[in-house]
Amino acid sequence: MTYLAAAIAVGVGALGAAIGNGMIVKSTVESIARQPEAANKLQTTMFIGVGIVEVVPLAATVIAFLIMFS
Amino acid sequence: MDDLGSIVKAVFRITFLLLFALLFGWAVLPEYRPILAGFVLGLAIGLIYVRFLSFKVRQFIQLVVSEEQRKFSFGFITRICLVFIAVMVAVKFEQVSLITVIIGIFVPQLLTIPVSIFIGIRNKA
Repeated sequence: MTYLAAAIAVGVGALGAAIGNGMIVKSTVESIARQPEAANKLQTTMFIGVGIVEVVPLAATVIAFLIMFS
Repeated sequence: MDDLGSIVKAVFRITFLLLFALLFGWAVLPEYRPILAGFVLGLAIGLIYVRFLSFKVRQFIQLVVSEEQRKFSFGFITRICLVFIAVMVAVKFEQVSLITVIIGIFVPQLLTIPVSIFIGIRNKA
C-alpha cells in the first residue's frame, strides 16, 4: 500500500505538471512566432510559469520518497 | 538588460542575504543548528535550481527564435536529482533538519514571483 501511495503521488503530480508545462511551452512558442520582438518578455513569463508548475511534481516526488523510505 | 537576467540577479541577492543571516544564526544559536543548517542547504540547492532553470529557458527561447529543429529538454531529471541529493543528506544526517531543507529548496523559486512583480512595477514607473 505504501508503494502504491508513493506511485500515485508521483504519477498524478507528474501528470499535472506535464499538462501545465506543455500549455506554457505551447503558448510561448505561438506568441514568439506571432511576435518575435517580444521574446524577452515571454521568456520571463515562461521562467516564472515553468518554475511554479514544477514545484508541484517536485514536492510530490519528495513526499513519495519520504513515504517509501521513512 | 533583459528582465529574466535582472529577476535572477535580484533573487540571487535576496537569497544570499538570507544565507548570510542563516549562517550568522547558525554560528550564534547552537540549539537551532539543525533547522538553520537545513535552511542553508535547501537555499543553496534552490539557487542552483533557479539558475539552471533560467539557463534552460534562455536556451529554449534562443532555439525557438533561431527556428532550429532539434531535441530539447528542460533538464527536470538533473534538477530533481539535485533536490534528491539534498533530501538524502537531510535524511542521513541528523544535524540537518529535513523539513527546513524542503522549505528552503522552494524559497528561491517562489521568490521569483514577488521579485518579478516588483521589477515590473519599477520598470513601468
